[in-house]
This record gives sequence, C-alpha cells and structure tokens, in this order.
Amino acid sequence: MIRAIPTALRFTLLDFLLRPWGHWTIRVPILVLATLGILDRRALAAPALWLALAILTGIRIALDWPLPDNHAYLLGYWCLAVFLGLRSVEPAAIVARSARLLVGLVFALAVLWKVLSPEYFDGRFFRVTLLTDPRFEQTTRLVGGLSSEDLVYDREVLFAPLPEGAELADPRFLVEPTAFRVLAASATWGLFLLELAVALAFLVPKLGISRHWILIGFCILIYAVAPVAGFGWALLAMGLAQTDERDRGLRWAYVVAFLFVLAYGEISVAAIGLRLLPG
Amino acid sequence: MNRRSQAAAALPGALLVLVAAVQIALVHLTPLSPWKGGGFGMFASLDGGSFRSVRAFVEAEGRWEEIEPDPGLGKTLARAELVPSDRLTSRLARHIAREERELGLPVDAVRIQVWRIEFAPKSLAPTRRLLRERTVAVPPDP
Repeated sequence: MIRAIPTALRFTLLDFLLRPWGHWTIRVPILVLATLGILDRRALAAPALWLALAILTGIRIALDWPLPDNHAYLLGYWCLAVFLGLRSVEPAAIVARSARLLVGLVFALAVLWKVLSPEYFDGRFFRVTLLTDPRFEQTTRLVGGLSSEDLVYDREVLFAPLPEGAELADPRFLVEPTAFRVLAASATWGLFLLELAVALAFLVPKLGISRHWILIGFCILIYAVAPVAGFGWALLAMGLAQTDERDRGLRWAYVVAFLFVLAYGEISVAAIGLRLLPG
Repeated sequence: MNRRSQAAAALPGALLVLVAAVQIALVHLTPLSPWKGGGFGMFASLDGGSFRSVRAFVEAEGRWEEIEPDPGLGKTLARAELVPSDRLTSRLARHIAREERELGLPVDAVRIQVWRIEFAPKSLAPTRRLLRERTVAVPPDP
C-alpha cells in the first residue's frame, strides 16, 4: 500500500540522491541523511533529519549564490515544511497545507515572471530557446521540422551578435519553417496556460479545479520535453503529500508520474520519435 | 487546525515569497539573471547564462591584451557572469591577476567586461550589449 506522507518524503529523499549537488562537504552529509531516511522508517519520520536537510540546502544556496537552480530553493522550503509538520501535533495536515501553498506559489511566480518578461509573449523566448538549447534539439527537429544542418546554421546566426545599433549590409535570415513557428507559439501559450492553471488550482481551491490531475498532467507532459527531473520530483512529492489516504488511485498516479519523470531523464521521447520516423 | 499550526504551515511559503520578492527587486535593480536567485523566473527570459559572456583584458607595460579566462575559475567566472556586480567582477579580476602572476607574466590592471546577447523581436537579429565593465588596478609585487 502506498501511504501519502511517507511516500512523499521518500520521493524527496530520492530527489536528493538522484540529483546530488553542491560541494562535497555539503553533498556527502545530504546523501548520508537521504539514504538513512530511505532505509529506516524512524529516520524518515525524524524532524531532525528534515531540519538538517533544510539547513544544509540553505548553506549550499548561500555559499554558491547565485548559482543554485530554483530546484534547490524549493527543496529547502519543502524540507523546512516537513520539519515543521513532523514536530507538530497534526503532521499530515500541516505538511499538506504547506505543500499546497508551495506548489501554488512556485507556479504563480513562474506565471508572474512570464508576464514581466518582454521576450516571452512576443514568442522570442521559445523561438530562440528551441533553436539554441541542446535539451530541446530533438523536439525542434521532430515537431519543428528543422534538420540538424538547419539548427547548426541558425545557431551560427544567433551566436554571432553585432554591436548595438550595427546592421549587416547583407543580413542572414534564420531557417524557421511554419511547423517550427507553430511549435514555438504553442510552447509559449501552452506553458503559460498550464502554469496558470496549476497556480489557480492550488491557490484558489474554491474554483474546484482538480489540482492533483493538473499537476500530474503538467509533470508527465512538460518533463517529457524539458528534462529537469529534479524539479518534477519535488513537485510530485508535494502533490502526493496532499492526497487523501483513501484515494489509492490518485496516489498510484503520483507514483507512475514519478517513474515517467525518472524515465524522461534517461531517454528522450523526441529522440525515439525521430528514430521511428521514416527517412 | 489551530493558529500555531496554521502559522507553521504558512512559514515555508512566506519564506519563498520573501526570497522571491528580493530576487525580483535585484533583477530590476542589478544585472542579476532572472533565472537565478530563487524567484522561479526559469523559462521566461533569454537573459540567462547561455547568452551572457565574460571578456577579460590584462594591462601590462602600457598595453592591453585580451585573454581567455581559465575555465578553472569556474564558479568565480559564472558568478560574475550572472551577477556582474562591482564586488564579483573585482573578485574575478583579482583571480585573473593572481593566475597571470603565477605564470610569471606582468600585470598592472585587469579589465572585466560582461556582455549579453539580445534578440530583435521579429527577426531575432542578435546584438551584444555591455552589462558591466570594471577595471581593477593590480598593486605591484612586494
């Protein structure tokens, strides 16, 4: 039987183990604590373990600032939430409420940043990212219809900037097929609307949106394309922590989503698609 | 849930909002990349590490020469790229001066430039913009 809080905590510890980071003086104690928590039920439920993980994560963020990814911050807040929950008289309720707030706020901030960024809604962000970020190369080729040669050419153009105000007498134009433009526009609006839906579902429960299925769908869909597994696992751990003990199907769905995100880190869905395509 | 439990449940979220508010302010007041600093600004802006670069110049015997920063400078280099503040660019300059001296090369000053590539809205034509320039005089060897 999958139990909500213990499994959510193990998801979190797996996140630490599968995506270790930081200087060895921080990384080694984190790996030891995470392993202890996975192996021993009492350690898993010990507030001290989660306080130690929160402090170590915080120290790492401070020492390496501003280099750590947002994932590290999220794990730090989540470990603090688990610590505060476990040392209270109603751990499940507190952990669940903290998780709900954290997921909602993360997505609200992601939405806010898109609104604040002048490069997002005019399509520049995804047009440039899909052409230059190697993590999206297979997707750009599969869905956007660009060849490897097109991508090499486009990257040459994009990484050869002119001084401000200068113009080439004979400008070079990017290769951007219609399918690529559609992909970039779909990514721009699709990601924004999905993130907005998750933020609303978690922060405004009165709307009655099924927050769990939106979060699971987000993780299964988005992390197939954007392989940032560590972030996905943290979100799924926080989602699972909010499930009702009676809702077995939902808890299994979280486990399956966790496994999907795990698999995405090892295999590229778009690369498989490219191999299956004729020619 | 009593008030104490409610406060405990809200504390991590409050901390997240506080850090994010500081990050948003820093991005607007300094050249901090929106991707970094705990504000969850990922996948929104092109102002990330991929489109920033550092150029370093060394002055010796009255001549400036551009040098390739040693990849071994790792975090010092990446920090100066992501937050080109006076403090972090000066630190990078001092590191470079020390390395040059260790190689037995003369150094009178080090200049650090942090550049960003920007893209035109429709054509995506790239242009480079100087985010920060800092020159640090290096005291002569004792």
